[in-house]
Amino acid sequence: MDEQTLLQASKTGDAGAFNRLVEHYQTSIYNVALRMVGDSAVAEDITQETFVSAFKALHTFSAGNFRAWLFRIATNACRDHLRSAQVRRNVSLDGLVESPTFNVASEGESPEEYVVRRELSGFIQQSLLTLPEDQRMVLVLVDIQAFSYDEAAQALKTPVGTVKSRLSRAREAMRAALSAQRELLPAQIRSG
Amino acid sequence: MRLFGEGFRDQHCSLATVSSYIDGALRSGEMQRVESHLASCAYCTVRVEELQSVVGVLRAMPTVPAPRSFAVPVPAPAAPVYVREPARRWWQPAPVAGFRAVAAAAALAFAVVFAGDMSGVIGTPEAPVQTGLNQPGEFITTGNPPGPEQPLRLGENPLQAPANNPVVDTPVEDGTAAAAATALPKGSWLGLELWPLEVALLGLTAVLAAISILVRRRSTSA
Repeated sequence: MDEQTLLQASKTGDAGAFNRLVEHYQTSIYNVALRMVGDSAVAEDITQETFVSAFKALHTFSAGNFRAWLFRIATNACRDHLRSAQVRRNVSLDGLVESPTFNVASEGESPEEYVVRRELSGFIQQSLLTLPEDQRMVLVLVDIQAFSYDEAAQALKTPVGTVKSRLSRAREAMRAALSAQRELLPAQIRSG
Repeated sequence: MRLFGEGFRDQHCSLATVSSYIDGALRSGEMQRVESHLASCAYCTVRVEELQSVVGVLRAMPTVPAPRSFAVPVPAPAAPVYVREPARRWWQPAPVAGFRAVAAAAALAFAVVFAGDMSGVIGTPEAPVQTGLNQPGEFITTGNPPGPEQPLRLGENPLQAPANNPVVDTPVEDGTAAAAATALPKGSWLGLELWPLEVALLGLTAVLAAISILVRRRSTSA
């Protein structure tokens, strides 16, 4: 069943159809929330809140990009959480590095590579959390979730030009942060 | 070549331009100008490579599997709501059942009366009524006195006296007491016409049946 059919069924209150959409998007939403707040438990809460809110507000979605609409709800939930709980101050780098969230080993990866990659992931996550929220949001959507500029603009309800400028500043900030941790970078980048 | 160097110069590509360039998001004319500039500017070339490395690192970030299902709870189907009827006294019949019972009784009464009327069980028999005997074998009759039988004309009621032959009630002067009787028309009982009773019973049945249906529908829709 395609997305439009599931959406139409969901609008009539068919929770089963909506849960098919949840299955499709839950990993992406969870990862966005995780990159935004840096805490797996909070990311779970945000993800659940996103889908519950989306199901309740589904009648307001008339047409367009459902993924952008859904991620707008998610990013708003992230913003609300960051502003209310100020999670950024409470997250420590050690906690992120040791978090099982980042202990995902790739196939064919040596133990040394795995350790380096885990440290790099932790460092990138920490660097993300130092970015202003708006820049972080754009960076997560475009560079991690592979959104187009237009999709990111819809999801964030901002002009495309604003997305471009925020993205460039976020990338430059990440470049500056990573330049200080060159030993964590993959060999082909480090030697380039 | 230096990675992640610091500082930009005004005469070089702007940060936003480099960022859009690596995404291929520049307009065609602008894209050509940047490419021609990069061909002659090592500094901007390094910036492009550095930002491409940053984007590459970010896109290589592992996707973390969802730790659980985030399916929204499926609401259970609504249970039927049973509305308790107000307590009813023993002498208060249930509205629908009462109407039905009375309608059934009226229908039964109508059936009995109508069947009796049609079969002659109820009402005056067609034969002359033997109301009293003065002498054995003597009848009190109406209409023509005993004599030769007159032929019955078409459309003529044999129980009705012809106009030229008025009914003669023969009083019994010395027989059983005033047993003089008149022959009642068919469809009467105890001197009463039966058809109004039949119509009344039929109408009562219809009205009560309709009321019971209406009450039932209203109670189920409520």
